[in-house]
Parts: sequence; C-alpha cells; structure tokens
Amino acid sequence: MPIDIRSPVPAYQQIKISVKEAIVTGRLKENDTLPSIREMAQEMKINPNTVARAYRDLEQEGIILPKQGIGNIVIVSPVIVRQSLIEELVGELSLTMTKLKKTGIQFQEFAKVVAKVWESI
Amino acid sequence: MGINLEEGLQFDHVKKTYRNGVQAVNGITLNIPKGCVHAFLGPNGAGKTTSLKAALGFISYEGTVRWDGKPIEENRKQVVFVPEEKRFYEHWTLSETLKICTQMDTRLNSEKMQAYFHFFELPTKKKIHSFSLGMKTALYLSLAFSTEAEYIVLDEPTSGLDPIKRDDVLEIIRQRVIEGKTVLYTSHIIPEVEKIADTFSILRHGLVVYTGNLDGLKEKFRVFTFSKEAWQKQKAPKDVIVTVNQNQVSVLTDSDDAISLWNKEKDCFCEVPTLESFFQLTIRGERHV
Repeated sequence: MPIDIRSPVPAYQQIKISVKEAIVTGRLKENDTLPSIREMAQEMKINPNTVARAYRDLEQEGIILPKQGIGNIVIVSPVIVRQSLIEELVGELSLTMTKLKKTGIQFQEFAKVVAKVWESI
Repeated sequence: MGINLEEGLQFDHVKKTYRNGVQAVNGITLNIPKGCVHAFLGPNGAGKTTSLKAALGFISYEGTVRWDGKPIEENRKQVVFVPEEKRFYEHWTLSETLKICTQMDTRLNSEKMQAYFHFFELPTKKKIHSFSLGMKTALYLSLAFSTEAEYIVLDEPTSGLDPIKRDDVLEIIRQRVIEGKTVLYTSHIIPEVEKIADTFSILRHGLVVYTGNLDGLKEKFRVFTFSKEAWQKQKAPKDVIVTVNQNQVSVLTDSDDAISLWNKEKDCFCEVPTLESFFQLTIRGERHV
C-alpha cells in the first residue's frame, strides 16, 4: 500500500504502522522475512532511506532482526506487537484530540461521541 | 554519527558575487549524503541555480565544493547535469543526436537511451526544432538517465512535462536512487518535492534558511493560527516565525515550550505543517528569536 505523503503522520511512521498491522493481523508471522528495503521502497512509492529509518526503529523496538544474507526477520509474536501498535495509533489521535479539547468539549461528552462512532464501525 | 567527508556532496561556505555586485549566494554550507534525493527550494533569485552552477564548476566562486571528497574537475565523469534551459542542435533529428551524443560522451549507453526515447514517445525521425518544451525536457532527461554517473543534477527537471510524464520522471528518479545514485535538484513545484525528496534545503537571499526532511517537519514543527486580537495577548514568544495575513496570524515553531503552551490555548488552531505551508511561512514570515 502506498504511503500518504500529505498525511500529518511521518512517512517512516506509516511504514512502521503497516508492518505492525501485518504482524497483528497475521499477514506476517514470527520468523517471516520482511520485504527488502528496495522492494518496500518500490511498493510504497517512497525513498529507500525512509524505509531504512522505519526498519531501524522496528529493530530498536525489538520487533525485527536483520540477518545477513536473509533479510529482516520478524522476531516477536502478535500479542507483543499489538500493544505497541495501539500506542502508535493512539499517538495519531492526539492531534485530533488537541483540536477537540480546544473546542471546550468535556471528557464525558467526548467519551459519548467516541462510543457513538465506535458503534457505527 | 560523524559525517563522512569522502562520500557525498559537500558545500563549504560557498559564496558567489557577480561583477555587478549582486551577491547571489551568500555562504552556503551543506552536506548531501550519498544515495538520497536532495531538493533546493526557493523563490526566484534565491540562489538555487547559481549554487548548482558553482558546484558544477561552471562559474568561479569562493569556498569549496567536494564530490566524494574531490573537486568537480577530478570527478566530472561521475556527474550528469540537466540545465533548466534546454539547448540542442535544432536541425538534427533525434537519431542523429543519439549518434553524435554517444560519440561525444562515452558514458552514454545507447540502448538505454533508445529505451527512454521510446518510453517518452519521442519521434526518432523528427528534427528537434519541431519538439515541444516537454519533449526537449524528456530528451535531456533520457540522456541524463542513460549513464551510470553517481550524481544526477537536475535544474527544474519537469518543466513542460504533462502531469503523467512528470510522475513517470519522479518514478525514474526514485528508481535511480534505489540503485544507489544521488540526485540533487531544484524545483518550484512543492508537491513534486514532497513526493520525491529525502531531504531539502530552502534558500532565500542566497542563504540556506532551513535544511531537513519532511518527516522531521511533521515531527518537530507546528503551525498555530491566531486571530489578530488573540495574538496581541501573547507575550513576546521566542523561536517562532510569524506571518500576518489579513485578520489571521500564523505562527510556525519547533519550540517545545511554545507548542505545549499553545496546545492548551483555546484561542488558536493547531496544524502539522505541510511542505507548502512550511515553505510559505519560512519565506514570508518574520523571525522572532
């Protein structure tokens, strides 16, 4: 899936999120190899340096491990990745929440709105 | 991580003053690492083309420019350049141009060049004077993309191209970078830079006013929009760029203090800058330091 360059979410973060989503939904399993930096750059229509940065981050978070001659291997289970994916996605919400808070909305009212949207999904 | 001066393109205090006293470049220091796309953005007269010409050794200048640690004279084979003005021998046909160019520049791979001509749908039997600006641009790009030079320098590379071909060119550039090449280019078209550049420099009055990448902007910077009245109530904030626009005041900042303060402020609106808004605000705004 191509990256949305106009999104307020940095491109490298979008790559991290999509890798984590793939692990959580089972499209990528433990011990699977991620596409190479070149392949990912081509598929996502993004520069290889941005992919490299996302992979470095994923490595630092202990989600993938580069193995010489093989590529980047998924080394964690979906359960562990799920938590960090949630944190990352909630992070995306913070800008919208900042905007909402400025309108003077109270938490209870906000919670009701969230519940309503939640039900409709 | 230290900067490897043996790799990449380095501008060190580059200055250019023309004979008429116009200072086109005012002291540019910049490191462009290998394997990336770096874009020079700026209004007309900001010094983009002059910086390129200095780097390419086409004009005399003060300071130094190094390509993989060497001056251009020692590394010219590794550099190809597409100028903004596309000049050809207009009475030659495309196939004559191909023949003569490959004789003159041994770096050119004629098979690749023909493939690009085909890709850009350039008519091989027609004389160049019948070509549109877009076709001339495509021809120049075909030449530049048909060598294995490490550095591809492009001055307004997509001028005259239709939006589809423009996207194709951006894809070719990306492909060259995936293959390990380095691209330096100037552009007026910000959405294009957004799509393709790893890093960019914004030039204004011959100086680099900002250099960085798009993800960095999104992470560090915020734009707050105030009404004029609400802005007047703010106490002299620091590290901000302020642009007054009719009844609104846009404030660009990367100061954590300002961001956390205004995130709580009800009288303003917060946005993550796009490259377009960042560019406009940096060029037009007034700095408060």
